[in-house]
This record gives sequence, C-alpha cells and structure tokens, in this order.
Amino acid sequence: MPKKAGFIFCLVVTVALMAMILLPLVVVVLGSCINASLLGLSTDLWSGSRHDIFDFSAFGYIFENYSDWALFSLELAIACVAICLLIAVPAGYALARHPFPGSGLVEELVLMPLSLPGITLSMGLLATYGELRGPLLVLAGHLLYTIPFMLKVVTATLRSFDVGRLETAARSLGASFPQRLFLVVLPNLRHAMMVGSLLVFAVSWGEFNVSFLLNRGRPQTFPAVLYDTYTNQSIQISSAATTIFLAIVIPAVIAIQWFGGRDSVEVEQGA
Amino acid sequence: MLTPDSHITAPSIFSVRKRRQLAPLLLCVPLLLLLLVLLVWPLAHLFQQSLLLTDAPTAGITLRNYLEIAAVPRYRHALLWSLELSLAVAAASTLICVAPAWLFTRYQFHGKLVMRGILTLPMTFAGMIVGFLMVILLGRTGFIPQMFERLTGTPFLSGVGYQFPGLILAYLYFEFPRATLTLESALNKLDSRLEQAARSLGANRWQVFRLVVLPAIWPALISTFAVTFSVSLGSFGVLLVLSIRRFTLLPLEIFTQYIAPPTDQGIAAAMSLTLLTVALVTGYGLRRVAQRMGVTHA
Amino acid sequence: MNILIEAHNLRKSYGFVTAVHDFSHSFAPGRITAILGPSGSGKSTTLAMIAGLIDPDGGSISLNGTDITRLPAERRDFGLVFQNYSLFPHLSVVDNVEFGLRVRGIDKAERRRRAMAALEQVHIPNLADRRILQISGGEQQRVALARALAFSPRVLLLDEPLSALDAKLREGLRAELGRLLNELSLTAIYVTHDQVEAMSLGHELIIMRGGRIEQSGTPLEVYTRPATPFVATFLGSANLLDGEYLQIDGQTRLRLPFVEIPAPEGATVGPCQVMVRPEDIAVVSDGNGHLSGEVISSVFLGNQARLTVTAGGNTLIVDTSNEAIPSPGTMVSLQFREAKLCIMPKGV
Repeated sequence: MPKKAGFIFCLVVTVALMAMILLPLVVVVLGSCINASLLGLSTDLWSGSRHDIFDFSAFGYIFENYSDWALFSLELAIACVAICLLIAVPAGYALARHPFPGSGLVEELVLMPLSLPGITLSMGLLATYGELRGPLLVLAGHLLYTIPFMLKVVTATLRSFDVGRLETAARSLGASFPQRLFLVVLPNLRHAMMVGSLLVFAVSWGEFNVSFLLNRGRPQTFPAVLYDTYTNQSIQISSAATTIFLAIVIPAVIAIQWFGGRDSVEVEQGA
Repeated sequence: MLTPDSHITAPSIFSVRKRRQLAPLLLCVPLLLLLLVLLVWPLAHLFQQSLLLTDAPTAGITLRNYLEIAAVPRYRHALLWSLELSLAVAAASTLICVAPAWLFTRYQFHGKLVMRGILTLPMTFAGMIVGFLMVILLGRTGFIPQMFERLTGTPFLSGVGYQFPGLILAYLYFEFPRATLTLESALNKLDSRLEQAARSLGANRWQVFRLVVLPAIWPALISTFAVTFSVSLGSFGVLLVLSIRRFTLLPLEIFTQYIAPPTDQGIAAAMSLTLLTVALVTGYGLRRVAQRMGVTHA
Repeated sequence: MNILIEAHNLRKSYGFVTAVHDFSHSFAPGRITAILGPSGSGKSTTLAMIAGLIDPDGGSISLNGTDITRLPAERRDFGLVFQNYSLFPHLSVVDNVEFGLRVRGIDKAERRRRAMAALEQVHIPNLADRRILQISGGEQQRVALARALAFSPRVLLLDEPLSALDAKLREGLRAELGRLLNELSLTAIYVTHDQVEAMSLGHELIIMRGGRIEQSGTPLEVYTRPATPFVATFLGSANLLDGEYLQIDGQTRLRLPFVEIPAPEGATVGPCQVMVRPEDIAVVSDGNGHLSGEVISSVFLGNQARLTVTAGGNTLIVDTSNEAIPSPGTMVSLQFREAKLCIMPKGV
C-alpha cells in the first residue's frame, strides 16, 4: 500500500471525527443568535418571537438571570487553582525528587478519582459530610478532580527535566534547601505550574456531575445553568448558555494546547 | 556520574539522614490529609452505609442491599446495560481513534495543531452538554432532520437523538478525545527507528503497521480501552438530558435514588460501590494484562 | 592554598554491590590529584563522598585535620565541576557564575565583579549575558568551571569534566585547564577514565579498580613501575611475560621464557610476572638482540609504527620508528632494555 494511502485513510477518519465534533457546536452557536427560520428550522422550539436576522436577546436573558452563577463558578475555579498550587506543587516535588516508601501508593491514590465514577465519590462525600452540602462541599469535589492534574504535570516535568542534577549543582555551590527551592526548582517549574493552572481552571469550570449533587440552593455552578436551560427553556436560550460556556472553555483549551505542546497531559474526566 | 542522594541510604549513625527522609514526607502532609478526608474516609463511610438497611439501621450488617441490585429487575438491567454500553463505546472509540492518533504522531502537516485542538475539545464537556448537542442535531426538531426535510421532503433521523444511536454517539463524542490522547502518548513512546528498520527490510507501510506497530501498541490499546470503559461506566449526564424511555443506567439510578425522596441510602451506597468496584477491577485488571504484555506506559 | 584533604577508610555499598571498599588517601595540598579508573571502579562515588553529596557507609573525611564527614555538601565550600555541567538553564551565563556568591549573601555589585573576574579567568567575559542554551559545549564547560571558582572554593573537585566534548576540543581545553589549575594552586581532585588527561594534568595519580586503590604515586612512578598487571595494561600498553627467579651458581637470576638475565637486588626464588613496555623493546640488527621473532602485523601510527611479533611462544607489541617498517612475515631481532623491566608478583 503506497505511503500516501495510509496518510489519506487516517486523514479522512480524523476529518470525519472533527466534523462530527464541530457540527453540533456550530449549530449551537448559530442557533443562539441567528433567527432560526433563516436556517430553515421550524421556529417553535428554536427561538422566541423575534424576526431580525441576529437576535442576541437570549444572551441578555442569561446575563440577567445567571450572572451570579457564573461568578460562583469563577470563584470556585480560582480557589481550586490556588489550593492546587499550594498543596500539589510541594507534594509533587517531594514525590518526584525524594520518593519514600509508599510514595508510589500516594501518587496512585491521588490519581484515583480520575478513574472512579464521579457519582460514587459524590455519594461518599454526601454520606459523610451531608450537613456541609453547599459551596464548601462542591469545592471539595472539585479538588478531588483538579489536584491530580496539577500533580501529574508537576511530577512529569520534574522527572523529565532531571531537576535533580541542577539541585546537586546548587548544593555544591552552597545553596541551602530553601535557596534551592526558590532559586532553582520553582523557576524551572513555572511552565508546568502555568499549564497545570490552566488545566485546573478548565476542569473546575466544566465540572458538573459532582457539583450538581453536592450543592444546595442557588447559586449553582455555571454548567448547572446549562442543565437548567436544557430542561426548561427554548433551544435558543440553551444554545446561548452553551455558547457562553464554550467561549470560556475553548480559549482555555487552546492555551493548554499551545503551552503544553507535545506532552499535553492525558485528561480523564468523568462526564 | 555523581548521583543525588535521594534514595539509597544505609542504616547510619548520622541523624541528618533521618531528617532528610522526613522532610519530603512533611511536604506531602497537606495532600495526604486532603486525601484522607475527601477520599478515603468517605469511601469507608459509604461502605459501612451499604452494609446497613436504611429502614432498619440497627439490624446489623447485611448484604441485602447488594443482593437487591441483582434481584430488582430495574437495578439489574441498569447494571447490565451500563456494562454493555460502556464495553461497546470503549471498543469502538479505541479502535476508531487509532487513526487520528497515528495521524498526529507520524505525520507533519499544516493545521495539525488546530485539528488536534478540535478533537480534544469535548473532553471538557460534561455529559449533559453532549446530550444537549445530540438533541440539537438529532432530536425531533433537530438540525439534521430538518435539513433532510428541506432537501428531500422527509425528516430522516428525526428523533434519533432520543434513541440508542443518539446515546452511543453522545458517549463516543466525549470519549474520542480521551482515546485519541491516550493512544497518542503511547504511539509517541514507540521508537520510530524500529519502523524505519522494518521499512529498510522491505516492509510496506501496512506491513509495518501490522507486524511492528500493532504488537507494540497492544498494551496501549488495552489501557485505552480500560480508561474509556471506566469513564463511560460512571457517566450519566447524557441520559439526564436524553432520558430514553424504558432505558436506564446504573449511575442514573443512583442519582434518582438520591434526588427523589425517600432516599434509600443503603441501596444507593451499595450501587455506588458496585460501580466503583467494577471500574476499579477492570481498570487494574486490564492494566495488569497490558503490563504483562511487556510495554508499560504512563 | 594549602588545604589538606584526607580520606580514611571510605566505604559505600548499594545493596549487594560494594562501590567503594576502604578508600584511604591523603591528597597533596595545592596539587592536582587525578583518580583514574575504568567505569564501575568507584571513582565517581568516591568523589561524591568527598563532596558530601553521598553519605559514606563507613570511614571519614577530614579537612586540615577536622572531621567533615557529617558536614552537608552545601557547607563544605568545595567547588564542583560536573560531567554534564548542570548549568541552570533558567539563568544567564553570568547569573550562573554568580550563583555560589548569591547564596552566600554577597551583595549585588561585589557578586557581579567577582563573577566577571571568574569569567575572565576562563576567557569568556564576552558571553556574560548569553543564555546557557545559546553557547557551545566547550563554552558551557568554561562557564561550569567559572561557576565553581567564583566563590573561591577551598578545594576543586572535577568529575570527568571533559568527557562530554569531542576529541579535538578536549585536547585544547585540557591544556588550558591544566594551566589554570596550576596558576591557582588549588587542591584539586580530578576524576577521569582518560589516561592522557590523568597523566598530563595530575601531579599525583590514583588508579582505582573495583572500588579499591590499585596504586598511587606520580604519573612517572605509576607508569614505569606499575604495581600490578592491571595498572600496567590500563596505563599505556604493556607486554606481560611469565618469569621465574632461580638460583644458579649461587646467583639469583631471572629466567624469562627466552632469555636469562641477572636478577635485581632482593629477588626471592619463585615465579613472577615481568612487564615491558612496547617502547622499551628495540628492533636491532640481526644477532644482537635477546631473541628473534616473526612480525605478524605492522601498523603505521604516524610518528611511530607498532609491530606485533611472535617470539619464543609469546606475542609481543613492539614500538619502532616510522622509517623502514618491517613488513609482516619478516624476522626481526628484539632487544629488551633491562633497566625498564618491571617485575610484579604473580597472580594479581
């Protein structure tokens, strides 16, 4: 089989997958603001009663009613980033550079939530801390999912980089442990911390299943806005909510791709 | 070569060594505490709950909750259908995604970054978003049926979104990125020089793939399968939105148990742990198989 | 600088493998001591113990009489030059060189001054603001050296600093390194597997094998009077012959497989091994030599020729001038310089 054929086959399959992924997204974005009848769609479920070509009223509706939810999600995401940096970076350093008996187990344990059903983790949290149901518990759930990402990125960098050699050099030059940490280790972790923060932000922002269960009352997380609109509102409003969601998630993913480069961390997230 | 004294230390008379071993442990303490509080203790508590009857908590430990999962048809079907769906989706996505993974790791071309970006996008979507996308595309008044109607007069595929094909498509939608990335990282670890050697010996591209690459990536295929399987197993967001009649999945049952009072905590806990066990066992079991096949990858 | 470093019975094992057995040496102050050995001989481990980067399982290290075995590496004030340089990629050249001064709390202006002085010493002051990844291997090595010297270390430890460079570059830098180290009169310990480096740079030589010291002494001593066959063959080339001391007519004589000569003073009867270097065997005109043999191969090496000759049941390597090289198959007459015969105990 000539070389070209293999390439073309893979390309065709990949493009087909891409089309399958893009098509609904495009329809959603269009459906949120373009008069549905122009797309040839029956208007009942699709839009309100406007007749202009572009109609951004759906977005207005979302902003009016759900801006505090968006803010809540944003606060959660930022809190996750901060906590992950403070907890996962030192732990990642310890696990990668100074493994102790059982450190392998610790790493496995941290990464476990990624391959466990989210609903089980949520049920566990509810069973134990049910009275705390609300923002605090939601944060807890988010942390379970975001800390593994930060840890993975940090340990991967520390291991591939052989920061150990640099630390040895720094020791030979007289640097004490705090000096080594701040002058040698952390500067070389800047990139990893940035990619990790982006990942944590994206994961926290998009998390729904666990957040939905663990929260109580309003405000909910932003993905819950989507759920709310899917079950109650017209397709135009749901599309608008989805578009806003995409508008925040897509730049984050692009940034992660751009900075993470070839070794983007495998993301495993429950849906 | 000088090596950092990170791991090998003989029993010594120097106390400074003991201190050095303690320090890394201290750095991990916040993490360990968090794990204990958020993961280990809740799961233990859940386990305890699953062994008690909700309406008779003082009756002592019993396995009745677990037995009920098998006994009650609704729950039994939920478990079986969850397994079947996850298996099908895992197999399909693992196989299909070899193509894009191969494309991204073996060829260079313009727009690769963009393509990769698009393919990995759905990973951040919660299941219910994907459910919504299916409704938009293939629901009763979905985009595709309406397009067909305009072009041919009949709305093909109308309402498909609310049936099995829609369900499968939805699951595939968010598993493709995961499968692609996992396979990609495994393919990257393959030494391309082996392929070059095979080609220098006269093998064409297909033969190289069949005889050199495939045996080498078998473990990766198995791990990818395991990962997509466990993720699909635990996911219920899609069904929340699509709500197919007379069809249910185990995570959805747990969810409805919890949302609709009165909650049978015992059963919910038992179901949750069953789900967890299946996911864990297949995950680790398959990973063992992959390891024993030789090549291990992160 | 007259810093005296002494190692006493240093020992280090990894699981079942003993990397260093009982290393004891008093390193000449103000001089360069080269530790030479094949890979796995324990030389890098020994250096790491002296530097404080690895804790010995037993034994001690003292500095001018004070025991520093428990002193952490960062407080020993030893300069270290690593095989792969280990330069900090996130810092510029001059920031790298300043590092040792920075962690000692020296103020900015003074740091910069001393770092630039160190860069001058290694002849690359012009590279001060470059990034590490922008400079060549040879330049990186100089930066590594400057960085180790900038904080005026008490001792300089070098772990195969030139082995990552290609041959031509290595040669040039070797000479410069030697000049610099001699100018500074630092106590230096230089670990290498390259005998040319060891012999040309070291004032004193330690040959290590299997975690132990095989021999130590000046390069000339070790070269002309190797203590064991291993040292004889590791350093330069050597011919090893079996011999025997015999009493004949009241005199002790040394019998080699093909020749008998008077034995040196103090020889006791018994078997022994004799080493003779290729350059100490001469091709002479017929009949004048100790024995004759047939040339098996001759290799032209530029400034000389190396012959492989079978004589009296042995295969000998003989170096001869590059003029009138005997071709394979010719018979030649060989003469041994008796003064250069080196006798060692058998079976080592």
